[in-house]
Amino acid sequence: MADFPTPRLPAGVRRLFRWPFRRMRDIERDVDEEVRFHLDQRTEELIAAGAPAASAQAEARRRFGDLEDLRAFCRAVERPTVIRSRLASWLADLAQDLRFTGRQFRRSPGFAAVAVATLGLGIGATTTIFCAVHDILLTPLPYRHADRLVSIDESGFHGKVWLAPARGVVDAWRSGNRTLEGIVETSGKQWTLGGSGQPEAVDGEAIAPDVLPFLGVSPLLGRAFTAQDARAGAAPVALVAEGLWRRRFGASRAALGREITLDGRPYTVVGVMPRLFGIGLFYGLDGPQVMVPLTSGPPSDRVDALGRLRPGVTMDEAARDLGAIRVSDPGMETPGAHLTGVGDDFRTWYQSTLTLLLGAVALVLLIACTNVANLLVMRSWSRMREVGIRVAIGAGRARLLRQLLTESTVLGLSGGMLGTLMAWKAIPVLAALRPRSPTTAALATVRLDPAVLLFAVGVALAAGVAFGFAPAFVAARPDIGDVLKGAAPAAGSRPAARRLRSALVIAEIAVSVVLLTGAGLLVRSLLTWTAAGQGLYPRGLSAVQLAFPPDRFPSPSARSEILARIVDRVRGMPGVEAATEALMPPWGRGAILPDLHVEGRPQTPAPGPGLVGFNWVAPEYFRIAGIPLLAGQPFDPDTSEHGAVVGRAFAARYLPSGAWLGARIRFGDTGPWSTVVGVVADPRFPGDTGAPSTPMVYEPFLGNFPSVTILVRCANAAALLPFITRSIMLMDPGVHLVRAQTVRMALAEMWTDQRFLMTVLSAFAVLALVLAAVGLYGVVAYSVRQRTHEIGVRVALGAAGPDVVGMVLRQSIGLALSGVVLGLAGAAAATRLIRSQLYHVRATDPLTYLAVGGILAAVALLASYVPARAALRIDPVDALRGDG
Amino acid sequence: MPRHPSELLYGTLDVLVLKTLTWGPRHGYAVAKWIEERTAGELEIVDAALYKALHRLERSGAVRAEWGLSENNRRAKYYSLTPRGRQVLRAEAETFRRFSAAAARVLEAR
Repeated sequence: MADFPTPRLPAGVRRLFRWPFRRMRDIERDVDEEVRFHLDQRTEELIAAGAPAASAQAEARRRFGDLEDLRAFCRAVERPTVIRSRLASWLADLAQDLRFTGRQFRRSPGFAAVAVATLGLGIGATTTIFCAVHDILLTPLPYRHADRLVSIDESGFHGKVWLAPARGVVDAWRSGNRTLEGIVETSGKQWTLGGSGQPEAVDGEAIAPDVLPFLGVSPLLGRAFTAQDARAGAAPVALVAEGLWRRRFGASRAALGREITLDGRPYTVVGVMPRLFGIGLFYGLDGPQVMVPLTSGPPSDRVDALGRLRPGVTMDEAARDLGAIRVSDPGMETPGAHLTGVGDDFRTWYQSTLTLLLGAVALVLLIACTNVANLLVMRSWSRMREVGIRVAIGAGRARLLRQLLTESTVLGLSGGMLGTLMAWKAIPVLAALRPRSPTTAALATVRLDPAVLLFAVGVALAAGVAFGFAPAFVAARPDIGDVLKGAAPAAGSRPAARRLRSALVIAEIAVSVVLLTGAGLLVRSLLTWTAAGQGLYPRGLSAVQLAFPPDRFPSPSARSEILARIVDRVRGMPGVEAATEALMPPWGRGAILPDLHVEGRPQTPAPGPGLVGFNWVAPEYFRIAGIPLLAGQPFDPDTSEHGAVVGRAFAARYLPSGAWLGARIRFGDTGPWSTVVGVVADPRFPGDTGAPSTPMVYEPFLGNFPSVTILVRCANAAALLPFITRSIMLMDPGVHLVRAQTVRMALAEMWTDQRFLMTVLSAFAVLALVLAAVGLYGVVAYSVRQRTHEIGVRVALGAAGPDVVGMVLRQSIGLALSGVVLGLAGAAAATRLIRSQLYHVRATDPLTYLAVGGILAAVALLASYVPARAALRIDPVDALRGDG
Repeated sequence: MPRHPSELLYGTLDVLVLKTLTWGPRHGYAVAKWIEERTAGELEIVDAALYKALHRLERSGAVRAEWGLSENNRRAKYYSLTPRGRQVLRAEAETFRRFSAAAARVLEAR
């Protein structure tokens, strides 16, 4: 059988294997033949009757009539048959392919299961993330003409500073504009909710009665606010959000008419609202939990303004229109207007996280597809004989390709089904992740809907074709001669196939390196923060925020008195090392745009966003919070001089260089000068990532604020905090606990989105790593099997165990190394995307890169260890006896 | 005024063709010849129209076509009546008879 010629079968034989189907060409040929016969018969007859040949022919044609018309008629009549037969043949092919595919998968159920599971994981993860992207980024907010809703701020200093607008300004805008359909006012609040059950801190919103009709939203239950409710002296009423209603009132109708307290003041619940998300950015998707009517107030009050553009008006046009309205605001002399789309605001909030996750998950899908492609390539080589026989008996290349693509498409769709099922199960799990972050809150509301299902099917089909094409192409061009000779399909020896498989594995490893690096950077950034803190010593520190309601503590002296008693009491508690009072905890942000004067310097209308943060603190605040003093000292409570401590960022920006201490600053044209007595470090918090520190000014605590924070340092903050709060509550039940947190808890809360991102990205990275390891294992194991004969020969010739193992490992290490190098290069480029999420870790952090490289090397060794062991067990006698 | 035959025959040509085939399968030319002879040239049917009728009937399932060999050994397409064609023919013939009887009564009425 040395020279077996490649069989070429005549076309007719090949046609026997095809479904007979009629084409337009066949139909026209038939008609022409039929007509020719008719004309010939007629002509012959006329000649027999004595007519001359030429005129007989002409006469036959004349009597026949319009031939072209007949052909057109027949084409039209037969078209449905042609189409039907084409469809029938296509369907018959498909049915045959599907039957065949079923047989193939039944024959190797393990292969089918691994492929479907791999794809299911990839598609499931992708669908889950797409579901969130679709719901949050692509679906408009559920308000009337949501695309034209804008929130409007005052802007000043050449548009560099924005502020919530004053009511007087909003009134002027409302009556003077020509570009908006309306402007409504809201105002964000934070309350301690009481009444029944545990008191808790809730996000709330005071809304003007026209807000809900303006948004096109109506209560699920009960009634909305009326103009009457907003009058001064009206009975206090409140709306609760659906979430709160379910949680706190057990979704009962009896909630209507119930009384709740907000900061100790009673309100009657009159209605239940659907989520008002996207209104007021910082509530995320939960929206405000409690709403009360916005009562009228002085024109200098600041509110949030929501407007709707008239159709066809751009935000720029509206901003120019509003900016031209002459109105004076004490905060910003002649304010301009700054508009942001309500949906835009909301989307920007989620965009970076979600696009990042979508990118990561696409990489996981890529690995899954690559793995399956690799499996298919290996399998198609071992199916060479079958394919060769099918070619030999007349299967066309296109038909064969189609068969192989049918198999991969079936795999893809099965994976898609499994994946959709996984997504359906995974979304609630993700949404339940604690701590709750804006993104997990968003996921809680996400549903699988037709668009998402369509997406899943699309991805499944695309994946099926993508990973099916390369192997199909390789397999559909077998060398029939070789195959029929019975020669083993020497897959491993085919350089093209080997290169393809190696390339696929390298790609997988590279992609998982990129993912691992991203996850690693996030983990390290979290660890760095927790370990070091920044300008603050979080261990053992907690913050108890209290409020003194004006009805119980009407005078400043009453407030000073109760605060002093509380601080004394806390200091005396066992386990407490120190306690101090401040207006806000270190992460509290009370930034305003000050009218800042520095003595001896021209007035500084701050260039750029000139916000300055303020806090009023006791002298020991810095020591207790662990905020390092960089120069000078804290204010001395005994001197009469007005002292101030400033943060480093403030000093660097506003004070004369080299003469920070002793500089005198003043806010407003009148008022006393304060002397800078100390400069401290600026604490940095997760939310600040990337942004410069807010310039801070600390002034001596005044003692009579209606709300305060008590900072407590003790050995075991988490354990002690409940006792501290309880004893405070026992001292005077009129005091309201706003929030008590250890600093670690507060920081964790600030980290929630990064933590969520980190968790999910780590899960993806691990998934990718596992898939890549499986891929590598598959390739190495397959090549060991292919080389059984060769290894047998080597062992027979005296190769020792280590030589054999080394041979196998060399291959896998080569692959792993190329993958790692490529992947690290890719990571260096890709991790730039998460730079804004990183804290104190550069996107090119060498330690992370090194660790990832190490992990990959270890996993690669592990993945090749098993096949290497298998190679060791090869018995040369068996190997040489077998046909290789 | 002589009418154009096709105008007269448009609906009835199908019936005539079906009738022709009741005596067995024939090719198109034979059908044409048969109708010419039977109507003694009274109805001159354009051949193309006849073929249209045949193809139309084939599509509707009233006749079946098959390639066969003609008397002089040439490939020709033979048409034969299907059971459905027989049914159609019976129904059409009945309608035609009733119509011509009714028409005759009207025309002969005094």
